[in-house]
Amino acid sequence: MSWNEYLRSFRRSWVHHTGMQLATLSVLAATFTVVAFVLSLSLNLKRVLSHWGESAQMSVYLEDTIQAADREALKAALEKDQRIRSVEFVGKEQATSAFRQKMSSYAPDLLEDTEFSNPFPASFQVSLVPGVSGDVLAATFEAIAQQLSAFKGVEDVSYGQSWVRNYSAFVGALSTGGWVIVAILIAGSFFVIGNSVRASIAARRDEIEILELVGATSRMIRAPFVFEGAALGWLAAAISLAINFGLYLWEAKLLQSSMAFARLGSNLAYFGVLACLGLLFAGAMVGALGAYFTIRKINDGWAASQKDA
Amino acid sequence: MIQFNHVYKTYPGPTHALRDVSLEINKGEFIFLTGPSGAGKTTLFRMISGFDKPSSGDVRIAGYDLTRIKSSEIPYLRRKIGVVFQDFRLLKGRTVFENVALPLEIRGERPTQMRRRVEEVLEQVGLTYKSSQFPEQISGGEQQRVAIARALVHQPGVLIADEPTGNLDSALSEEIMDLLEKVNAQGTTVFVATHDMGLVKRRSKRMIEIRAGQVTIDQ
Ligand SMILES: Nc1ncnc2c1ncn2[C@@H]1O[C@H](COP(=O)(O)OP(=O)(O)OP(=O)(O)O)[C@@H](O)[C@H]1O
Ligand SMILES: [Mg+2]
Repeated sequence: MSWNEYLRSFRRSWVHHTGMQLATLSVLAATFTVVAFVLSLSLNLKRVLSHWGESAQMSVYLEDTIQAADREALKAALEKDQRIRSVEFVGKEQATSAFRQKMSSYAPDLLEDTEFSNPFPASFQVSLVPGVSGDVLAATFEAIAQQLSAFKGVEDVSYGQSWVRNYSAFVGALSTGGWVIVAILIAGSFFVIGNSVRASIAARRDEIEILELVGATSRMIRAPFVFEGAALGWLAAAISLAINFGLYLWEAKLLQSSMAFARLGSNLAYFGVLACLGLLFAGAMVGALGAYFTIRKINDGWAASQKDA
Repeated sequence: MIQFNHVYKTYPGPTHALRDVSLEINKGEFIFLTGPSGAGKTTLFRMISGFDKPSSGDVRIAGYDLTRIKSSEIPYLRRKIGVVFQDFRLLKGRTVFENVALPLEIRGERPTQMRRRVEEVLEQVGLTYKSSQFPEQISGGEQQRVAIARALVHQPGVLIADEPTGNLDSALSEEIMDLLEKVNAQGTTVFVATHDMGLVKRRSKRMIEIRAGQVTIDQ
């Protein structure tokens, strides 16, 4: 049968059960709206957090007695590492003057104090390549630190260990929580679609029996219902994307005007075109699968019309 | 064509709808199936059309063994037979023409060939002039003729009809029977269930009678 037939049968379901279809569509659209909201929230949080994460640096402190050759070997090894974006050497003198500069307002004398002995070790300041996902930041730093301990002349490695670890755990928990919510809502959507398709099946029992009678295959009998589920899912996804786009515009305005200090406005993003198409497809798939599992239980080749939906 | 070998059918209850039924129907025959209400006629037809499995025994229809058939093969079994019911079972939202075309549409027949064949079979049942009407706009006798046309459009080897005249008056019943005989004369095996004994007696055909699930007469 043709797409035309599917559309005709979908339209018939709407005409005969406007209430049921409308209720299903509303519940689904609301569910998908929450799903899309959670996804866009996690997308934006990830962006903000990885922005912060990118500023995380690692200091590799060197022993005062390190040989030039060892230092060069260490530098080469760091620069070769794919995970590392930049390696900057900070000598003893530099470290001291930076410290003095920082402290000058508190202790102006420090700048002139010639007695001040130099307690600062030389170090390499290491930053990671951008885009290391927040939840693996700690692990990445740890792995690099582990490797460095094998080098001669490394006194200590510091990257704000506990801060980075907490940060990574937070980002990880956030995305796990997001996925749990999304999974629960999608499981619920299957039932909502299944129920609606069950009603359409019940209303078209006679028709199913006639189709069976004249030798329609299970696929032919199931197809219009699967199409109906897919169409509902697709429509609900489209509505939810529109609602979320509205929310996004509103949030962006809000952030720009009243929360400008957080400088989050410019980081706020909406789903790209591909992500939107993906979500529409996912909505249609949820609908199609929900419908398929419902109709499959009923139509097993023998006598769909006899079975309870 | 149709072969039953020691077939039993027991519904939960238990109701023994068929008990040790054996019969053989050959190509080109015209057979009446009679018996009182509840004797098991519909049960037998449901088996032939692949809507039920025997509880035990062998059923063979048009080359298919019903005890072994895969559920995915059942539609193809049904395409080899034509089925007519007492209550017509036409699709309300489709015209006479579209109803008759359904079995061909399901087979993916080309539109031009489909049109030709549907017109031919509508001519055969005398309904050419009603082809664009909807089932609710035509009489019961006409609806039954549409159902017969639909059962014949794909040129099945067997036509089974379960009380095809149950909802019709006697004049119309005779008309439907004449039509079925005409169909049989063209080579289709016709198997008709009815409890209108007058109708059976007026035509000298093979008659199988079942009572309480058992074959009592086959002549
Ligand atoms: N799905 C079912 N579940 C349980 N019992 C059934 C079922 N279908 C039929 N029966 C029983 O099987 C017996 C035979 O029924 P069947 O419909 O075959 O009779 P019939 O000869 O067609 O009767 P009628 O002339 O009234 O149409 C009856 O006792 C009926 O109650
Ligand atoms: Mg019956």
